[in-house]
Amino acid sequence: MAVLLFWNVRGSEVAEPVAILCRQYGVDVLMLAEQGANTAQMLRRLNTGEGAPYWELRSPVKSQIRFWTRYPVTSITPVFDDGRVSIRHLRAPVGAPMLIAAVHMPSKLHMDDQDQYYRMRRLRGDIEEAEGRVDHRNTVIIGDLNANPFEDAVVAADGLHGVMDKRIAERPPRAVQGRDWRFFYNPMWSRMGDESKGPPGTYYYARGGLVSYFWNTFDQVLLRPEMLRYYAEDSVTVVSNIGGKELLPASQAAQDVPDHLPVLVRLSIEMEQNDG
Amino acid sequence: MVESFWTIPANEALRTPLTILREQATALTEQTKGTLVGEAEVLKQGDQKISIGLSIRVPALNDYKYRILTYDQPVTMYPGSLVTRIGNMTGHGILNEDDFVQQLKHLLSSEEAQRLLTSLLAQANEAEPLAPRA
Repeated sequence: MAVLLFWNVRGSEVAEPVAILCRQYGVDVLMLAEQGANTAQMLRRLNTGEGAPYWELRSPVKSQIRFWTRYPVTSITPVFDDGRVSIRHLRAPVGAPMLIAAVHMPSKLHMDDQDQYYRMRRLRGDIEEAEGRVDHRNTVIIGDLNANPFEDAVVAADGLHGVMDKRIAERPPRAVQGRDWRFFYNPMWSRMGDESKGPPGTYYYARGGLVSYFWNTFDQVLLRPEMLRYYAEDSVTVVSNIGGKELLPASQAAQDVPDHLPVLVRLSIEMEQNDG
Repeated sequence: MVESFWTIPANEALRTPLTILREQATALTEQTKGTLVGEAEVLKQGDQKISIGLSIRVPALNDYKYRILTYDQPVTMYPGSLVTRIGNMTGHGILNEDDFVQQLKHLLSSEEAQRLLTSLLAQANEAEPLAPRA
């Protein structure tokens, strides 16, 4: 089982809660955006206790997203960076290879919806190029998209083409305007609202104006249909409690704690090995 | 002969932003003797906007690719927006070709860009030589 976790920590000091999270969920690849703690401090926290040690993955360039893993460091290679998107190729010692696109899109405070849509189309292009280079489409997008699952940038065929139904995601690419567009499955549709499993969203913001969602699901996991064979229902978790301490909403106004919730996904990539 | 109402501008000296990025991409490849490969590309063409980018590819690091900047331009090329992580020049407005060249020069010759190149060159040199292709 490969466990991936992403958290936009807003520069907060999170070494201790992250370490608890990693132990609690057996995280294999940890991705933090806007991470402030230094490497030594983070590693010290992560590596207290038993289990395989975590290592920070060296990124060829400075990136908004930092990676830690307890896989052998040589099993994850950098494929692409642009400051906002970091694509890594995981070839775990056992199991199927996987392309991980960790994303931290610009805030809605600095981008209008159209720019965001435009930015997401570029992300799709970068992912397709990376898939071509590694020669498979076992792709997972994980991160802070700064857009909800229902927004055009995430849903549109020339955006991420993220759909709420696995059966649709498994259909052949959809032909629109003379081009075939591959799908992503977006399980976050099932993580919205207070009758969903977990919190109503991943980011709370009571904006002024006539329309306010209050809860947004900006932090998402999307999977290519090729990954669905490794994905079981309820394998995505929005974490709202670490070591008995609620992350939101009681603390949402505080400046020294992250205002996004972590998201994690469990993928049975080792099934590949058992198939033969 | 029909009278033409068109005034066709001389286009010998016309350099599009993509042409300028291509020149800089080639310059990087040549100056590093191919250790770093510059790539200029059209990233996305929309109804009203074109997005182009300049990237650095590192063959010794499994073709790792770093996009150093993007330029979002209208069909008329200017004004547009130059976005890069270097120098925190997020969404810098570009008015015309001169402005584009000046900003690009400022960016690519900056200390931060030099640090980036130093880092990539060092890692490329450190990497094991690629096996010859069969």
